[in-house]
Amino acid sequence: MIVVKHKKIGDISYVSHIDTMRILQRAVRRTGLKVNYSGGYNPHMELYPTHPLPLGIQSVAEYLMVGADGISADDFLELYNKNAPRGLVGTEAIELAAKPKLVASVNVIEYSLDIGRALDKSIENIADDKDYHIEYTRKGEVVRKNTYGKVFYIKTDGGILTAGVGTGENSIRIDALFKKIADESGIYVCLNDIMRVNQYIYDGKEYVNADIYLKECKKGLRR
Amino acid sequence: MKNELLRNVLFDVNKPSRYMGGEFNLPNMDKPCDIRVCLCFPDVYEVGMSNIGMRILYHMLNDTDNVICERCFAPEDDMSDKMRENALSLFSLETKRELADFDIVGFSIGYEMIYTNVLFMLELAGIPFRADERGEDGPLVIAGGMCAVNGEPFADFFDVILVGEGEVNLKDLTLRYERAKRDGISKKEFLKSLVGVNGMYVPSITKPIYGEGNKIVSFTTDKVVRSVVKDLDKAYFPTKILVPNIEIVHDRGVLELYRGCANGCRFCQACFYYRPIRERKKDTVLRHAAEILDSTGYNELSLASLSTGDYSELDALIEELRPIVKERNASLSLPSLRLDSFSGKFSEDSRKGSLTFAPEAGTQRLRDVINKNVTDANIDDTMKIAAEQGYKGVKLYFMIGLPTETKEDLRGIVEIVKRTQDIFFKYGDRNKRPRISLSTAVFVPKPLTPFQWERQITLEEMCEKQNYLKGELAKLANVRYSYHDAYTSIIEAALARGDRRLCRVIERAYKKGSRFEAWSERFNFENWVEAMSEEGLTLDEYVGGFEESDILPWDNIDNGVDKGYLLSERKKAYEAIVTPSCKGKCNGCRANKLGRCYE
Repeated sequence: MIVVKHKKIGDISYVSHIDTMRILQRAVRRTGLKVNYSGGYNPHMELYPTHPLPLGIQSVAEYLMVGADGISADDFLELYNKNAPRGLVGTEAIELAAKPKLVASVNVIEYSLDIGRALDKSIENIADDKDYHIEYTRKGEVVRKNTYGKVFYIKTDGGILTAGVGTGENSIRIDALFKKIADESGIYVCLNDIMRVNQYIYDGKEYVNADIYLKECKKGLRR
Repeated sequence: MKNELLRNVLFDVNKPSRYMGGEFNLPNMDKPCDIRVCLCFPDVYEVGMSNIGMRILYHMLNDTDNVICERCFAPEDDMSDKMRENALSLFSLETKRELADFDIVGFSIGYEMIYTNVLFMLELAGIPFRADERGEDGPLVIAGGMCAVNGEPFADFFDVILVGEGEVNLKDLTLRYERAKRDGISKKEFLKSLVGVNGMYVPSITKPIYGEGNKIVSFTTDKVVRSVVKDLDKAYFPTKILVPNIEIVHDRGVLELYRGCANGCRFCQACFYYRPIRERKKDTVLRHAAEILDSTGYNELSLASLSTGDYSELDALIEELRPIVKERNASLSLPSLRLDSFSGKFSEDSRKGSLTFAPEAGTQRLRDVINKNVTDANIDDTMKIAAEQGYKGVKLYFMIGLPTETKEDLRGIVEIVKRTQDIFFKYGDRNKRPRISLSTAVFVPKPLTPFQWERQITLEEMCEKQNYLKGELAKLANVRYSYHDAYTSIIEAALARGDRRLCRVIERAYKKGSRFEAWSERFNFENWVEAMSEEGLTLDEYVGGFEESDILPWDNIDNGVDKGYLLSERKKAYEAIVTPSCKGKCNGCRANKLGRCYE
């Protein structure tokens, strides 16, 4: 099993998660490598992503697990970069004996946005605010969501807004959160500039970066 | 700022990647270039990217020195609303350049119901609709594609309409325009220089002259001769093609086996339009197959031609394609098999879902009239093979309203369905009834066919026939009946055989909101009726028949097939005499004057 860490930047950020998986399958097929397929009547390529990246958001911290044997991680990375479309760029690859439980383990995802200047009001208490709501439109309907328990931390530093939000049932629309915060200070932002920067495994005490987690998997310290 | 604005707009629209390009195998957009072309397809990305013609021409131009070609598709309503709201002009996918900044803007027009979308795209691009309103400024706006067989209904909107195959005339026009630009020749002078050039129809110069009763009496110039690729085997065919970032309608590699069709079904425009019949050699197709799969990563490959089963080397091709496809973990799909060419062996490896066949008419007599050389025995044998191979059902396509059709022919359709059920019961799985899906389209008389002079049946007749079939088929278990909308068929017929007076009608219909009308749920019949009436025209004028002596709106084009041949085929139709496939012996349609037909 090879795990590739990759970026998804530029125009390709407007490609949905499902379509990105199709693109990645084709990219892996173009490498000409023999990758593993599931059994059954309709065999599927062993290709596993991590948590879906919201449409229109960019990322420098995506992970892709590929069932490829008999090739080194570095060689795979080189082939991947030759065959991936513009904007999908492999940055690191690691070879593991088994598929890591990355999706089940990652429970906090960090996003950032350059807002250019300091905010007019403090945002440090949003994570603890039991009555903080965001609003967005889905299928023509306005949706209102409470962010309590879903925002693990939020801060600004030198005009950069950063937030760690939950995954799965704890996930929230990061674009709606950042837009609300920017609007409150009258700052115009391009939501496409939001970047997923890190994925963490949080056990209530410390945040372990997925990069570290994978290295520990390699050493047999984690599964 | 504009780029940032666009990026924010895309946050609020469905499938934003439709508008962003960036596909794998994108040609070099930074190469030195003297001429920029934008190929436009007046439908959404998913439809346009599936068009094999667009695919060929896009890569061909980008593989030409000094030429850069980009793409643009019709934006969906959510995107066009946002563009208007934010004063964004229609732009190309590759470099986000506004359409008005290109040297040539070319539209591929493949079916009648997207004519209004051309105006929709021009309006979003800020380009005046009519060629005479554009003057010397802005890009050369051109059209090509199947509908150029009769370009009259949209003639006013274009500077040039390319007639025939784009590999020849689009490249020729682009290079001529590049030279003209370099030499400082005006647009007007350039258009004049195209008169007499094969494949180039300049509507502002070649015009119809009307006589009494709005009948065309002549044209202002000689006929424009359609251009064709002489040697298809050596013709340009891209194998390093764009791989779409979103799922498109035909999301697979496509191999083109041949152009034209030898069968000569008398209602079929494509059959006559794409003549002379030219095949690609098997080894060339095999090379294309391997290159396409390797360069795209597609896991499916399909064979495209008007009647794949008639390709002369099909058995050997399939035999040799199988290992190429298997080695790459891909699959092969075979579309459009004729009933008389289905032997079952092509589908041995495929999933046994359902098969699709088009008998087109219910009785032998009517099939002879339309020259669909398929017998009742062919149909029964095919169903037997399908049942024995374990297929769960079949899809059958028929047409209603064909010339000379009677109630007996409609009863024949029901009989075929009943016989199919019996055959599946006898030779297939007795415990399961086959799923039979039957679909009927209304016959639309098209230019360049032996039925081009026919009237279309009335709305009442269409509904009566559809209701009869609905009633009869409802008595049979496990049969699903669907039919093509009658109202759309009427407008399609009017636009297919219309004349230049329809340009104003199209413009009016667009202004009333008609767009994306190939999508049945968005079609608005009332808009067309009102637009016709406001121009002092009636639909009856356009869906009624022509006299054989009439000069037809498309008689300004020499499409290859001789008008006399079409007339003789029409006479044979009324006598129910069939014309054999021209694979064995030439039937003398004269298309071979444009290029060698068959070996």
